[in-house]
Amino acid sequence: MAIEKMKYMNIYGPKDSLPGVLEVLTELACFHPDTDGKDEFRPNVSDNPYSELLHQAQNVLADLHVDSGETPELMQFELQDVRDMVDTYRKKIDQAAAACKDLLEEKKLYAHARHQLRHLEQMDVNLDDIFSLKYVKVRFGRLPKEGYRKLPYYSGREFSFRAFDFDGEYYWGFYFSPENISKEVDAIFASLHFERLRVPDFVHGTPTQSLARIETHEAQLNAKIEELTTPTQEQTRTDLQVLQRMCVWLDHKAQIYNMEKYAQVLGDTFYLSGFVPKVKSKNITERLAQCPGCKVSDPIASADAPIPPPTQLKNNWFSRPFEMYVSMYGLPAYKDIDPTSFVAITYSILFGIMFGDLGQGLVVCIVGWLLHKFKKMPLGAILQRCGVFSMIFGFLYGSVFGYEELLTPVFHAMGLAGKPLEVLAPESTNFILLGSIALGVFLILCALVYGMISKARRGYKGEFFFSPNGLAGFVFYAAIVGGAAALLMLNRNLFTPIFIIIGLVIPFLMMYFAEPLTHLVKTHKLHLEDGVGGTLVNGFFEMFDVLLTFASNTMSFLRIGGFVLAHAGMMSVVMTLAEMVGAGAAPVVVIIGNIFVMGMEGLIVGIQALRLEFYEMFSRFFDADGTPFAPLKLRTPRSTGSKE
Amino acid sequence: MLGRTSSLAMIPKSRGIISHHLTEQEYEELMHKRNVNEIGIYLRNHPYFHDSFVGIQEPDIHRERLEDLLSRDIYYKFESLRRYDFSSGKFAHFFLIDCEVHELLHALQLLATGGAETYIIRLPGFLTNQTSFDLIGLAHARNFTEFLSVVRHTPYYGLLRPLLSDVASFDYAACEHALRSYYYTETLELIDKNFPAKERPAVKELFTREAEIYNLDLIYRIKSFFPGSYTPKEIEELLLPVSFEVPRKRMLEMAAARDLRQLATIYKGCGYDKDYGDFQVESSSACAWRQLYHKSMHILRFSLSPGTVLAALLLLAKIERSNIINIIEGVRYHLDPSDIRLLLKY
Repeated sequence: MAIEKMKYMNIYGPKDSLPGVLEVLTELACFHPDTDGKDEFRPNVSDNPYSELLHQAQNVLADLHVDSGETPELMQFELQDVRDMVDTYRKKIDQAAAACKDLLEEKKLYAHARHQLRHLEQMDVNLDDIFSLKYVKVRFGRLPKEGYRKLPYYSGREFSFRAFDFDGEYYWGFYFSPENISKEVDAIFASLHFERLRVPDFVHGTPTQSLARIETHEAQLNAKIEELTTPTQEQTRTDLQVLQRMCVWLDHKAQIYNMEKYAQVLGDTFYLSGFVPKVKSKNITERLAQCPGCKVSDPIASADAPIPPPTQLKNNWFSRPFEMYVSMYGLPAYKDIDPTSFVAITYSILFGIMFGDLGQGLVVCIVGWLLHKFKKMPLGAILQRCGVFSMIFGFLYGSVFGYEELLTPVFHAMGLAGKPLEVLAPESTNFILLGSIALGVFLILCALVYGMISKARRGYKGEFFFSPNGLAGFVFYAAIVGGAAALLMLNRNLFTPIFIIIGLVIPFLMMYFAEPLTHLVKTHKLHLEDGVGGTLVNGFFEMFDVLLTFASNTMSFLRIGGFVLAHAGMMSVVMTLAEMVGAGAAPVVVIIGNIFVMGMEGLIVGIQALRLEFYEMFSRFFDADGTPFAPLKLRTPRSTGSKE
Repeated sequence: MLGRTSSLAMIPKSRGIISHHLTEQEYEELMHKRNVNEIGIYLRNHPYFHDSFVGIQEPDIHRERLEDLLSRDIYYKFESLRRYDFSSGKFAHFFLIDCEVHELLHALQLLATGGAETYIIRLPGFLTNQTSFDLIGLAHARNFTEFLSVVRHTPYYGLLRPLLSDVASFDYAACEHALRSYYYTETLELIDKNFPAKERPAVKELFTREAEIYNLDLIYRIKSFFPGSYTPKEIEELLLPVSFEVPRKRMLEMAAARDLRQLATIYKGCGYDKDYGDFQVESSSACAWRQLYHKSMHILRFSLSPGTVLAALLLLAKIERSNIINIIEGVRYHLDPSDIRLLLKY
């Protein structure tokens, strides 16, 4: 339950050594740069020579349809050699593209002709014969169906329309007319919105024959285009493999170049400052000493650093997966306490209580293990831990996949009369609900203690004493809850005048006037920001909110009991259904029911437990104002990328 | 009307259709197009007109084609809803009567002006086989005798025979009056036959308001553009025999007004501008249609009567078509968008 200790380090040396230093730092991946300071001394990395060349190289690979495949290992190249290779292939591609352009135009023409001829497939007449008629004019095209319906009007006229296809909107076909009246007939068809289509010169024979020829020609065109755009020669393939390696090298260099912005350069010297984990500072110093001309100042304690250190969580194997939940909310400041272990324990317990079933807990464990092992999901590790607690509480409830009596012999062997806790028994309901409240009170008090520790560590004296989440709030809440519990359960009235004054009135007044009192502690001067009246009114509304929040936070834990009962209730329904369907189908019902309940309840309980953590507990002590530890490191270099 | 439960499907379907209608913003965009082709491309890509424009790939969409497609669009919407009308009297038939009246009037107009051979060009192909008379036969008619023979076996014959017996005394306005009166009378009868009593008022209101606006529009146009050309008696003969907000007596008073100013005095004095807007402010009768547009939209959104919703939807579609045609004309003649906006009914 800790935050990694940091050291502040200054590195400086000749400007030319900076890339080498960055290579070492990215390899070690434990240096968080200090980005404060004047930007005018930072190198301008917008003109990254490697990035531009990388994009060109990747475009070359994309144009040649080179599959990314496995990323080759990093090799060293000279920038000029890379530039030459990229230029050479760029020229080749441009030449091929120019040659392709004509082929594509031709392909488009043939596709258009094919589309037209598809509508004439039923015609078994040679198109050359039709278009070579001397005394008859022929027009090919499509006639809208509305126009087609008007053709009977012209039934006495000397022309004929023959349709070969109807696509739902248009009739495709020819109309024939004597040459001497062709203009008049053209006008008639124009008025019917006939669209004339010109058959290309390369179409000969019947439509079916033409289509076959067109398809053959299109295949030839495709082959030529393929040849121009895809490398087939062995030398080309080898070159492209080298180009892929060059891309990896370029990507690597481009990233290093971009990182130079973290340094400050004055004259010929660079200065790079940042944080490193204390345990690794010696290793870094030794590695950097090997860089020519590079010097490292003695690392100083982070407390003396000019800026607040970043936060890197450091937890044991049990708590580590829960760092994901904490990070979702935020990171603690460097001097703050790490709540991860607190979350790990409370979350697991809450989950276990609400999802108590020995068998289902085991399944959750196994599923979590599988997820963690094969998918590397942190949630899998969390489920493993939660599953264990589910099993523990499932044992206490005596429930195994909804079977409530399976563990009875075990309890008898242990000397118990029956289950430690019979969830579905009416007499247990009150216990469960009150127990939930009690657990909630305990957790809230723990959260308040955490809050006080955090404030103490950060030196917030005023907040420590007077805040509703500080000592005053703790005493007030503990006094109310303790007094109420004693009165209701032990029949002892603790609310004596002394108790009331010390436990309730004084803390209340401390919280009421928290702001001016905090100011007094900080500056030794009493100052009312909003005047007397404003302070009183503000205090009234704030205390109203504080009291309401205490009440609602406490009541919120009732959901724990609710979910315990709900879980048991749902399994009871599954068992009832299993009994109803008879012995044959009962196992199926039980299995499906368990899967359903595990899925649904598991999800709901997981979310509810997290909600309790975030809203009821974190809000009491966790400011989450830490800066994440973001060390310099390289992402895996790519050989291909998106084409621009 | 539409007594079967399955007719209720018309309501959500209609609301689904109207949810894609042109918004004010989209009308503005249309008004700022540079030519008819751009308007056509815009409408082609608009979901409200998708069904009608699908497959249209012409590089240049002409005005007539565009107008035909818009008419077809209304018919397609009608078709998509008609299948849910299982009423005995077929209320949905009112739409076809309206289309037939429109075609007959168009054909008559062309016959009277000597352009009968051009009727075939604008004949809506989607209506062939849907009308009670042969549209292709109507396109072949070259005189009133042939015209009457086409409609011989329809109610239109009885209406038009007295009016078309003498070419010299042909009165188009009288024909229009006869046919439109027939349309509204028939429609109101269909409503009485097919609607439960409590649903009738709402749906009748749509048609009677439409007819009333037609009457007001007629009087307004005569007083604006043909002052002194018609006597009050002649105007009375042209008015449709239906009323909703404006009693017959008031309508006749307005018909007898000397000029536009006196018309406005009577009109506003009776408070009709609250329902139909102030045509003096807007310099057009579009304001009256605008009120009907909003009324129809309200009915379509809130009514639980399938037939009423159908009528509202088709009325809105007609108004929308009229708006787009006004925009097309405005763009063609390079009118300023602010002038075009005055003519729109929304």
